[in-house]
Parts: sequence; structure tokens; C-alpha cells
Amino acid sequence: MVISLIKKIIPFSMAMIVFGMLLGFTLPSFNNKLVGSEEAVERGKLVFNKYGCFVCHGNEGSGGVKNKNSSTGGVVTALTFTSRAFNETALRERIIQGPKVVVKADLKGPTPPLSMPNWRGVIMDSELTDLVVFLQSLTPEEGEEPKPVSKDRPPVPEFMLANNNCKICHSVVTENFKTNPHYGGHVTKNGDSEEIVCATCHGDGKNHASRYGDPDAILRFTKESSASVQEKNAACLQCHEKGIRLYWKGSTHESKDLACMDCHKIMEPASPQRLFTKGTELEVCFQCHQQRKAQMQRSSHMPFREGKVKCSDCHNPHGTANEKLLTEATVNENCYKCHADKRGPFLWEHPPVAENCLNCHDPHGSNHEKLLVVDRPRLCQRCHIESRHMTQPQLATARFAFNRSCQNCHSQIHGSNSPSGVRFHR
Amino acid sequence: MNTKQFISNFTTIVSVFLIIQPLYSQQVTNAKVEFGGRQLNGTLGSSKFTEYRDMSPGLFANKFSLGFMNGENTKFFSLWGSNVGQYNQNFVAQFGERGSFKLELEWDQIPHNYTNTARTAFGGAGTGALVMPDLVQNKLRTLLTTDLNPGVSGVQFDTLAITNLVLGSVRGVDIVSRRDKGKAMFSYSPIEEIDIKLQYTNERRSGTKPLGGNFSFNPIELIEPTNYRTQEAKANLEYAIKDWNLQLGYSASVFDNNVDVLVWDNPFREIDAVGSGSRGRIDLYPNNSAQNVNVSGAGNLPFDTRLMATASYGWRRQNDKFIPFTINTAFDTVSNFPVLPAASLNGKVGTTLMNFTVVNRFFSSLWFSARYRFFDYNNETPPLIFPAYVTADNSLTRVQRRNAVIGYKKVNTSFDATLRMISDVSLKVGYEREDWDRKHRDAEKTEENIYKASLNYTLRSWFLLRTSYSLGAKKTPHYNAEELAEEMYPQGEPVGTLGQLPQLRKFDMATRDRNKANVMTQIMPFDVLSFSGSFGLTNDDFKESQYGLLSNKSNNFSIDVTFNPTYDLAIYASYTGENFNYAMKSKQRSTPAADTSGYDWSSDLKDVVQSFAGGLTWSVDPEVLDFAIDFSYSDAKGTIATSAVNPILVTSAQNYPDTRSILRQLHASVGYHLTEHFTPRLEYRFEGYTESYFNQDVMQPYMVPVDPGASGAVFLGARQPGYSAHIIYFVLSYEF
Repeated sequence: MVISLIKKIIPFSMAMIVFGMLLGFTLPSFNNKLVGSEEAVERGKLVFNKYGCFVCHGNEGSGGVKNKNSSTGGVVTALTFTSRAFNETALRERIIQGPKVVVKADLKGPTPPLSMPNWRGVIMDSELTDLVVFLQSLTPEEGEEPKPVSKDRPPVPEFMLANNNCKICHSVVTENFKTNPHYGGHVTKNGDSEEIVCATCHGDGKNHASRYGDPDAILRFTKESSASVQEKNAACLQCHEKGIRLYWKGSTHESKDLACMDCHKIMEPASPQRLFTKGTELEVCFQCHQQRKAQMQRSSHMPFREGKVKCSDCHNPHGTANEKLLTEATVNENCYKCHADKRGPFLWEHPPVAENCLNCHDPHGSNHEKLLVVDRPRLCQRCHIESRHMTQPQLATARFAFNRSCQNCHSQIHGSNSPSGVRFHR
Repeated sequence: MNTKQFISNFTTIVSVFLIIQPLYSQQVTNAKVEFGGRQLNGTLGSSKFTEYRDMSPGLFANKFSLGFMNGENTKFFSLWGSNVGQYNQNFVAQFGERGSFKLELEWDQIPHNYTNTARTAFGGAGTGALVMPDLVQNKLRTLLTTDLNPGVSGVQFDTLAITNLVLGSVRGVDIVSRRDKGKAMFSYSPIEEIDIKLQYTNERRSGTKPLGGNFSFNPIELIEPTNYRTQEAKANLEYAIKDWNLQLGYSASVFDNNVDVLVWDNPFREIDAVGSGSRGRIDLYPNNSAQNVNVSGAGNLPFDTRLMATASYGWRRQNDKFIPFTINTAFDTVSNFPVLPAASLNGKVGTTLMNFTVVNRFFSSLWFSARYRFFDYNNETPPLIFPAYVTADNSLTRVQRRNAVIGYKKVNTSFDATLRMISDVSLKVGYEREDWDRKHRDAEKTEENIYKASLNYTLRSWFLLRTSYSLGAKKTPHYNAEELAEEMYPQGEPVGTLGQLPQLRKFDMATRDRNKANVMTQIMPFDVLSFSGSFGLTNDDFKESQYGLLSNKSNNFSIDVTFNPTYDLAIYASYTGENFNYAMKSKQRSTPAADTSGYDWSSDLKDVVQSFAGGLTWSVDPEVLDFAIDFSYSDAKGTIATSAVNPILVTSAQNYPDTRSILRQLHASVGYHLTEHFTPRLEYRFEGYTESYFNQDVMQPYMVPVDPGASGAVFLGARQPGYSAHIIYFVLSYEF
């Protein structure tokens, strides 16, 4: 039905346009150019420079400053055709209110870093009038090219170099930060407790601002950053070298030059918790641990892919006092967190079981039942060559091999507390 | 979930939302609700399909999240949940004030569906008493002892009649358990330097699982009741100031098994006799507890040195009352029947951990780190001598046995240096020493020297390389294969016993060379294209082992490609190949006279696993329509090849049939953004699982047709067969 409707509308619309043209109509002009005196234009230019508009909009509004993922081609729009888009009233409103959102090219991508601030209460009314005249003067006449623009940029105005003024150019990003867990936190520097602001992590923005927003003049955490992994991590560790990150220095991941931002994304995390770069913790770990990702699909697995077990249930990726980044002192103590039934101590201990669950199990997934590293009875026969049935290879059709094999009878293999359980039958 | 439950759950969520919002907060930071329905088709009867999840057809509330903050963005309340009203549901609520305190409450359920092909003749599944009608026991005993052909040696019983009787007596039973876990966490920071964390969890695990039981060489497969409660409490205090911090922690875990023993009827005997019990009794996992105190600290010292240290002491206790030697009443009249040496074990283990790590970065291009770690598993359980025991509730074995009080100490010492002469490149070399000192194990001491090297290279955004290699040489200075037997037989092993094969070297204590290498790279030549790949190998060579595990070699290779030609489109594919190879050697042993190399046999075990995955996500129109499709395929094949020096002597040295399991998954979804907040989504999911396991596929309640020696055995016939599932979802998502 929709298609048939479109089929009807398009020919009708085309017919109306042709009919209009025959009657001599012309398409309406959208140029709302306000003609002002040259003095007003000059004054407006001074206002444009006074408030540092050129930092984002380029010299004389020529545009071209990068604004990643903005729907305007990844750059801040030029102001050379302003008067065609806005009449005077709309332009004034636009300047003092700023756009509510910066439209993303990719809706799932990052927020474009640059956004128009709200100038209401900052810019005087007379300045605003002059600025509007100046902006509208930038629009060339019909058929003309925009005027060439000087490459010499004026110095960045002093007020933009002051502390905590990031929101002038990054208003949306700083507004979004208010819902970030870091917002409202404090950090102790030189004995004083300071509220967390942009500079807490990104460093003093004075250089960045005075160099017209040069991204390399500030500490960035993206892969494009020129900062080393250690420099980036130091920003996080100024507050986070405690708690579960006590052992970060010298840890496996630190010594492999992992950056905190390889796993975490502070400003617009992909996960609802823990500020991950991916939607889930498993996805984060699987970026590097691809074999573990494959193991998750095995027939015998813990409920990883069902979302009930995650890597950090056993490992602390930030470093621990234990091997393999385990959260507990031994492999077994990790396992006992969910399998306390097997903790013992038992009257009759099975020594390799009490010592290390990994002697028989692979917790990351196996194609043998019960997460075993090999099939029974071979699993047991690796160590048991005492005598009788346990030393026979056993046919596949024997009760010593099928079903639970040796554990058909020796079921209490993790340890027995029965006085008659010396052979783990009871 | 039925419609009534769905409406109830949905109403609850909405009510919570409406009640809390005005009470606590002034602004909603996020809210998302997903609910819908699903329809299933295919062969869905396997427990494997619902092994850890609830996949009931019909309406379901998939997930929801609600977040509130006050006007100053200082106080928050969050609530989220998934699989609402299903057996695998999860809820989390968080409430707190930033920089001050946080309270988190969680409720989580994990079902575990073991099998739905089980059949049993026992009544009382889920309790500690599995009973069978005396009449059936009597008939089975009569059939098993009635010789149809007295002329032939042994009892020639009527296999068909027994099979028919067993199959006629059994009924289907699902073997399922579930974990219900409640968790509360509270963290409080009264001042910036102090953090206090308290945590309590209470988990109940209830249901059933399969368990082996036996009378002599006759397995009787049982249904074990699981009725566990595990409670855990933790308290941590941290004091952190510039350059220093100190952590104090305490934890306690208490495990209670509410079913102490499992008693079951012997299907083939209804009257007790010495040599053949009418009932069996297994002592189920005993109650136990564990506690731990720990102190950790770190400090930044002069010359860019950081010291990190941990000391902890833990103690475990287990003192469940011993059950009698047997439930077989025929032993009541046996003279000199053994007496228990104690009423309970009074099991005690103390664990001590000490770790010191020092890193020095005084030189910007040369870093050092050193580590010392000591772990002691000190088993203080008293050794008890048991004058005899009853084997499988059947026969009295008058051989003294003593429990082996095993313990160990493990010390790791390591040192490494990292050279960073060139920006973005780090070269690390290191040495580690690992010493084990075990008590009552074959090798009292083992010592391992490990030499390590690694190279990392990160070239800004487009190239990353991480490599590592280690060579470990473990030495076992002295090996006594009879150590455990010497401890457990106070009067020596019975005459005629062969004992452990002296040439056996158990792999966890054997002399071993280990070569381990890993390479991982990520390359992004263009913004739109990225590759990542990894290769790893581990080769363990037990070079002094004549018997036991001789080698363990594995390798894996992965490659992953992602192509993002536009912001809206992502195409990805990955492959992982894995190989695992084990070689072992054993000897079929019976009498001292036949204990020769002619009875040697070997087995090579090999697993090959190949995994493919790929997919595409496409925002056809970012504000209107999105589409995603992905698939994965995992194929695991196992072979066990066995051969004997003399196949005539070792007749059972034969290859096992190959095992194979294949999991295929396909998922496609289309989302139409009806409004900014409202997105209906249509999804299709296919899952196909097939398996072939020689040790599972044949399982039936009565196995004599497969193994004539299993005449007195009864099984559950428990399997997890393959499945094929087509699932259609219609999900409505509301978000703002």
C-alpha cells in the first residue's frame, strides 16, 4: 500500500513542479542577508574574535575544524552561508542558545567533541547585533565565491585559557559527564582534595586551548594519541592505584603494555557497568584471548555464554598476589567459591584433587564432559598403574569405560569422609 | 512463563518504577524495557538446549534497566534485571551517593539441566533414600541367580527377562538443579582516604544430579539430592594516602549440606548378607567452613620504587560426624567388627600466603621487578588408623588404613628486567624459580627454573605486537612411587599386592621441560579495516617418565578480521584452530609373574577443534532501521588411539571410536525504530548441536547387551543428545 501511495505521489509532485515552472514561478531565495554598515561588520568581526568563535569555526567562519563523527562531514560547519539558513532572529537565537544536540553521523559512535556553547548572559546585546551582521556579511552574493580568508589566526582570547573552561568548546561532552561515575568525585593532589574536572585526567588545557584546540597538546586516551601507554595509565593511577588495582605495577597486563583504555571507556562506555569498551566483560577479554572465546562454545562449558559466569569471577585483570591473576591464593580456592562442597578437608583425600583442580579440569571449556582435559578412563590412567582393572586399557563397551567410567564406582573422587571411603566408593 | 506470570512481572516492574521515581529522584538518567514473545520449533527435547537457561516459549520480559539521579547528580538509584520471571532471572539494585556510599543488592538464579533422558526404578529421587519395591528386587535377584544352562560354567541367566524387568520398572525423571543466590554489598567511604566494603552472599543449591554407586564391580547409578547452602561474608577496610595504602580483610565461608547421606536399595538383593548388601550408603559432601584474614599494602619508595605486599592466613574446618562403616546389617553379628577410631575427623587446614613484589623504574628505559611468593597448605588434620573397612557395603577388608595428611609448600621467586630503549618497544627478560615441598606425595620436592622473554611493540593506532616465550625445566630429585601407600598402609601393603609401578612418574610431579610461546598482533592498516591474530603453543615433555603421561602438546591459531567500510556497516569474521595431543604409556598388571614389558600399552589422545564465526551489522538507516546477522560454528573432534606391545596379551588395547561435538548458531535481527524511544525488533535464532560420544551414546538402564559383565549393574541411561532449534523472537524495546 505504501509503495502504491509513493507511486502516486511522485508523479503528482513532478507534474506540479513542471506546471509551476511553466507559469514562471522561481524557487524561493533563502538568502536572509542583513545589510549592515562596514563599521558594524568590523565590530562584528572583533566580537567574533573576542569570543574565540574562530577556534572552532575557523578564521572568519571558514570552518574545517575536525569534529569526529559529526553529521556535518566530521568537521565544524563553515559560517559562510549562514544568512541562507537563518534570518536575523533565528541566528541571534542560535548564538545565545546553541544547538541542543550535535547530530552524530553514526548514532552508535562517539559524541562529536565540539559543540556550540550557550552564550546567553555572556555576550552583550549590541555585540550580538554586530556579530550577526558580520556573520551575514560572510555570505557571498549569488554566484560568487566566499571571500578568501587570512591564514593568520588571532590569538586565542584569554578567557578561554582559564581553568575549567572546557565547556566553552565541549559543552555537550561536559554535560554528558554529569552522569558519569567520576562526576562529583574528588582527588587528592599535593595534600588538597580537589573535585574531579576535565584537567584531572586530561591535564591542564591551557596549551590545548592556546594552540587552537591542538589535540596533541592535551592528554588524550584514544589510540590516535601520541602519549605513551604509561602516560595514559598514569592519569588513571593517580586515583586508582588502590583497591583491586594495588598490584597493577609489574602485573601481567601492565608488563604487556596494556592501557586502561584498551578495556575501559570513561566518557561513553559501551557497558552499563564498569565503563567497558564493549557491551560485556567477556567481549572485552576476548579481544585478546581469542582461544578462550573459542572454548566457550565447547559442549562442556560453564555458563559463560549464558551470561552467568564472567572472567572476573576468577581473575583480577589488574594484577594480584597470585599466579594467573587469580583472585584467590590458589586455583582450588577460586573453584571453592562456587564448589564449596568439594573444599574438605576430607578423611580420604585424593592428593592431585586437593592440590590443583586443573590437574583434571579445564574451566574455560572442553569437548570432554565435566570440563575434563581428556576422556576417562585415560584421565585416571595417567597416574594409576597399581594393578588389576585400572591398568587395563578397557574396551569402549566395558562399564569401566562408558558412562562415567571409573567414577561409575569411584564416585567420591573429590574426597570422601566415609570410614569405608578409602577407595572413594562411599 | 505463562501470560499470568508475564502480566504479574511486568506490572511489578512498572510499579517499582512508578513508586521509586518520585520518592527518591528528580531525574531519570536511563530507562529501558524489553519484552516480547518467542516461538520455538525443531527437536528441542535435549537437556543440552536448556542446560543453563530457561527457553520456554510464549511471552517473556527480556530485560529492563532504570536509573535515577537527583538534581545535583550526586545520588543515584539503579535497578536492572534480565530474564524476568524465568528460571535464569537476575536482578540488581544499586543505591548510593557518589564518593560516599553504595548499597548493591543482587538476586541471581542459574538452572543446571543435567539430563532429561534418565530413567530409574528408584523412588525417592531428590531425597536421601532411594527405594525400590522388594518384589522387584526379589524378581531381579531370582532372575540373576537362576542358571538357564547349568552345563556351562558360570550362571547363564535370562538376560532378556532381566532387561525387560528393568525397563518395565523404570520411569523417566529429569535431573535438574538450580542455584539461587542473594548478594548484598555495601561500600562506604567516610573520608577520602578510607574505604570500607562489606559483602554477604547466601546461595542455595537445590535439585538433583547423577551419581555413581556400586556393589563390588556392579555400578548402580543413583540420583543424588543436592540441598546445599553456602554463605559467605567479607569485610575489607582500606586506608590510602599519597604513596601508601593498607588493606585489611576478613572472609568467612560456611557450607552446609542438608542431606548427609544417600542410602539406596540394591536392585538385585533385598536381604542383607555378608558379601552382598541389600542397601548401599554414600557419605555425601560434609559441612565445612573456611575463614581468612589478610593484610595487603603498597608504598612508593625513593628512587621510583614501589613495594607491594600481602600476608594472609586461612583456616578450614571439617568435623562432620563419621557414619558407620556400613549400612549392611549382616555385619552386626561379625566378631571383631572394627570400631571407628574417632567420632569425626576434626579436619583442619591452615593456609599461609606471603607475597612481596618490588618494581623499580628509576631509569626511564630500564625497569626492574622482583617477586617472592610463599604459600603453605598446612594440613593439621590428625592421622587416624582404621583397623579395617567395608568395601562397597559388601565385604569386610581387614587391612589397616591411615588417612594421608597431605600438605605442601610452594615458593616462587622471580626477577625480570624490561628494556625500553626505543619508544613503543619493550623487551623483557626474566627468570623464575618454583619450588614445591610436598608431604606424602611421590615426589617430596620439585624445583623448576623458568626463563622468560617477551617483546611488545605498539605503533600508535595501527600496529600492535605482543610476543612471549618461556622455557621451564622442572626437576624431581627423588621420586618414590610408593610414598602414599607407605603412609596409608601402616602395616604395609597386603602380601601379593603389586603396589604402584616404580617407573611411573605422575605428570604433576615429574621431571618436565616446558616450552611455551605466544604471539598476538593487531593491525589496522586503514581506519576501515583491522586484523588481529594470535598463535600459542605449549609443549610439555616429561623426559624422564617411562610410564604415565609422556608428553602434552597443544597449539592454537586465531585470526579475526573486521571491515567497517562505512560508519553504518561492520563485517567481521574469525577463525580459531586448536590442537591438543597427549601421549601416555601404561602396563596391564595382574601378578608379579606377569609384570613384564610384554604387557605394556600406549595411548595417543588427540583433540582437534575448529571454530568459525562471522557476521554483519548494518544500520540501514540509523534513525529508522538496523539489521544484524551473525553465525558461529564449532567442531570438536577427539581421538583415542591405543596399542599394545603384545595385542594378544593386552586384548583390550583397542582404539576408541572418535568423539565429536558440533555447535552451529545463527542469529539475525531487524530493528525498526518506530520512534526515538520505541523499537520493535524481530529476531531469528538457529542453534544446532550434534554429538557423538562412544561412552554416552550407548547408555541404557540395563547395559548387559553392551557389556555382559554388567549383569548386576543398573544405570540411568542419562545422556545429553543433540538438538536443533529454530526460535523466532518478537521484542519490543522502549528506551529513554
